[in-house]
Amino acid sequence: MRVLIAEDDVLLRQGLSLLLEVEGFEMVGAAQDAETFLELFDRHRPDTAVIDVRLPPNFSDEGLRAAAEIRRRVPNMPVLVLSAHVDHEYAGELLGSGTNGVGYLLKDRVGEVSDFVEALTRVARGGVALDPEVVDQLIGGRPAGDPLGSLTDREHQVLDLMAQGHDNAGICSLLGLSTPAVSKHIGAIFGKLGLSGPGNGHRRVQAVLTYLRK
Amino acid sequence: MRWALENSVAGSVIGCVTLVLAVGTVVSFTCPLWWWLLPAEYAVNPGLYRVDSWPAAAVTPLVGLVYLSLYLALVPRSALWHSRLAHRTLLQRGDHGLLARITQITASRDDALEVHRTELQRIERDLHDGTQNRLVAVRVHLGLLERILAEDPERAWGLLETTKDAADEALRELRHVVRSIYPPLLADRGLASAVSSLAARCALPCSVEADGLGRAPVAVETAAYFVVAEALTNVHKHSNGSQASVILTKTAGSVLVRVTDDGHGGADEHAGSGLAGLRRRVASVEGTLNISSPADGPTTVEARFPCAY
Repeated sequence: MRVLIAEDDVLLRQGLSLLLEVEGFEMVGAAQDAETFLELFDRHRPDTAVIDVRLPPNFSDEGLRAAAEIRRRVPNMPVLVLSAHVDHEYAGELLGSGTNGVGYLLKDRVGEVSDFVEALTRVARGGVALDPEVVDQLIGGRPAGDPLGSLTDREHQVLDLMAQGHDNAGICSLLGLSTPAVSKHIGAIFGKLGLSGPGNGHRRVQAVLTYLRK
Repeated sequence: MRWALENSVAGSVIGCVTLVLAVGTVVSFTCPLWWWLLPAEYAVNPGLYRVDSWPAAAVTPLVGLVYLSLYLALVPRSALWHSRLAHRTLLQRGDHGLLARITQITASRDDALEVHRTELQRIERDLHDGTQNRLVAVRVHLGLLERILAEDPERAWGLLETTKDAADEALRELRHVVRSIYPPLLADRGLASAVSSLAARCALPCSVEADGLGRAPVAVETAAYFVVAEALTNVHKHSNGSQASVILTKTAGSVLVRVTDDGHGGADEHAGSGLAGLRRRVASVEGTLNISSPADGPTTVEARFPCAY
């Protein structure tokens, strides 16, 4: 899989490139700012991109805008955005351009290499990878009487993982549950939240995210 | 307005008198030297008579003495009186007076400096006792790993996990400190977004109304943000309430922030430093803070910030 990255910090840029190469990705380029990133993007048309939110010159949200820009040039272009801090508002802006192939993770998560690689692969295949902290924000702070309050603890765990973008198999292995058990929980969650039929993995994630972002 | 009127009238009168006396003095003393140069129809008249002959000219220095003594007697006094008049008019205007304004600015500047000092102290403590210690632990573990990697790989795996946990903890704390200094979202997206993020992180259900808020000056947005942050922390820690609501509104010339809970009330500003510190922070941008917390609740914290700068 061909990957392009945008990260301003030299050490992190090298580390990320090395990590991705070691994990079998083909690095087509590593930009230190958004402008170079967009140039390299047009030249190489990678399969997926990894972008830091804060980039020169202003170090505010250049990376986020670069992500939106490549998704404008190539609809549903898979992109994974990394940030030193995450917030559901930015996640909403990213997901606003469609829930196909979008990732938004804390930079720290890169340290858990296998999880990171799994997330990047998921995004590259058109899936979603949302940071657990963002999901906590989306789920927390709901008024009393919200249907979310009626979920059991186990259903909450399953919902968390679904909102993070995991499919059935992922949820099974992460929670150590059998496939029928997970399907049962998902059915219960959809029933309680009043969402329509579970459908396939990605459609379910979309339904959950649409519900949570209301 | 009143000052402008008084000052222009008094100033003009005093100015004219001063000018007449000054010119009169100079003309009277010097006219014996030059009166004969003027044609008769333009003869000067510094006193009560025309200077058109040598005897008349000889008397004018006496008239000059009169001018001079009037000048010395009147000018310094009227200048003093004029300055006192202006002083009195400007200072007797209550809240709008210059003196009151200066006192207010001095107080808010003192508050700002005090808030700044306590903040720096807190940040130093957080970084020093938290993040730095965690990073030291990471470094120590890495050193240890280097020593035992070859001899005891089994133990090294365990240590590696501990090291990763310490690094994660350092990062978590650092994010927390960064957010407590100046939330990145506040800079990028403004008060409404930053407050809605606060509400989403709040341990209790919290609703936010912030319609049509727009952007306010950075100092106001920051102070308003910290009012909400502190108030929500208090709701969670002390109020025993089950939910909170935040309302942010912008009216002509001010931003209003109101945080209400459904807790037991009885918040005491003098019991802890939280609310007192908050009052100082609000005052540092010339805002006002009202806390209403009757014994049986609910507690409402309301801050109003002038923002027509």
